[in-house]
Amino acid sequence: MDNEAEKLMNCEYRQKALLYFYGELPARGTDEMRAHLKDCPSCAADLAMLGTLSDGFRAFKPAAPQVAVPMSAADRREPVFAGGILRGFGRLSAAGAFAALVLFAFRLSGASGSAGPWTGGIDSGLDGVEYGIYALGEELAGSPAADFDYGCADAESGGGEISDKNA
Amino acid sequence: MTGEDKNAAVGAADSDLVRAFRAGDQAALEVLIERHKGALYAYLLRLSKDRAAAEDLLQEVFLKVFRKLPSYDEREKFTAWLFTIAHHALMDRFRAGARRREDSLDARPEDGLPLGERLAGSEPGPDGGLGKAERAAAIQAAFDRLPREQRELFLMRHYSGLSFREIAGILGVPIGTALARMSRAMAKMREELDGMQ
Repeated sequence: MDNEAEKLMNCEYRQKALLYFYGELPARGTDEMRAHLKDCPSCAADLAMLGTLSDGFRAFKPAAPQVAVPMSAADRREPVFAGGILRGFGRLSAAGAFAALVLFAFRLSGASGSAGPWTGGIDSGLDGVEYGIYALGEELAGSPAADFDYGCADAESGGGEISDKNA
Repeated sequence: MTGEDKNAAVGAADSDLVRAFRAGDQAALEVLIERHKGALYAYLLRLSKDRAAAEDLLQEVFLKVFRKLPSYDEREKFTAWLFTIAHHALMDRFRAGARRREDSLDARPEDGLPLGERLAGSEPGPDGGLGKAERAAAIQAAFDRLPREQRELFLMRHYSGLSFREIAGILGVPIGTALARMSRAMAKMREELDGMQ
C-alpha cells in the first residue's frame, strides 16, 4: 500500500462516515460529510461496501421459529437456583452411594476371609492398628532397648539393684 | 385481551406493551415477541451460524424476558434491553462446553444462510467478471471471516436499529471503540474483495 492509499484508508472521517450512513450525524455534520465524500474515494468505498452488506442482510430474512410463549409461574422461576439444589443433592447422593459401595466391598472381603496379611496364622483376628502395636512389641522384645526396659522394670520391682543386661 | 384489543396492541409502543404485561395482560408479551423475534433470530443465527443453537437461544432469550420483565427499567429502550439479554445469552453459549465452543461455532459451515440469495443471479457480470451470485458469495465469505466482535457490531446495528452509542453500551465499550471496530471490518472486507468487481 503506498502512502497515498494508506492516508486514504486512515482518513479521519472514516468513523463519521459510518454515523452518516446510519443517519446518526447531526445536520451540520451531514453536510460536511457529503462534501467530504466527493473528494475521498476511501470513505466512499467504505460506504459502498456497507451498502452492499446491508442490502444483502436486508434480503436475508430467515423465518423465525414459533416461540413458546412462557405464561406459567413455573416458567417465571429461575432454573439456576433449583438446578443448584438438584445438583447439590445429586452430588450428595453420589457420595453416599460411593461410601456405601466401599463399606459393602470391605464387608464382602471380610466375609470371604481374604483380608490383609495379618489375618492369617496366629495373628488372625487382629486389626491393622493392633497388629502394628503387636509387631512393634515383638521387635522390641529382642532388642537392647527392650533389655534396658526390662532391666529398669526389674530394678523397680526387685531389690534395688539395677541389673544391666547390656553389660 | 379480545381480538380487537390485540389489533390495537399490535400498533402499540413497546413501552405500552410492557406496562400492559405488568398489569397482567399476558397477550401483550405475545405481541412483543412477534414484533421482535424476526430481527432477534436473524441476529442470533448470523452470529452463531448454527440454526439449532439460534432457535434454542431465541427461546432462552424470551424466557428471560418473561422472567425479568417485572424488573425492567422503562427508562431503557426495550430493544436495547432485549438485545442486551440476547448478547449475554450468546456469549454464555460461546463460552459454554466444547460442543458450543466459540471456535467450533465459528468454524461450522452454516446450514443454508444465504446472505445474498436475493442478490444472486447466475449470469456473469457485464464485463465478463463476477456475476451477482459469485459476488454475493464472496461478500458473505469475507463477512464470515471477520472477527466475531466485528460481525456482532454490524449485525446488531443492522437488526436492532439501535444507535452506535446504544450498542456500545450493550457491548460495554466506548462508542469510539465500537466505531473503530466497524471501520476495521469495512477496511478488511474491502481489502479482501479488492479487485473482485
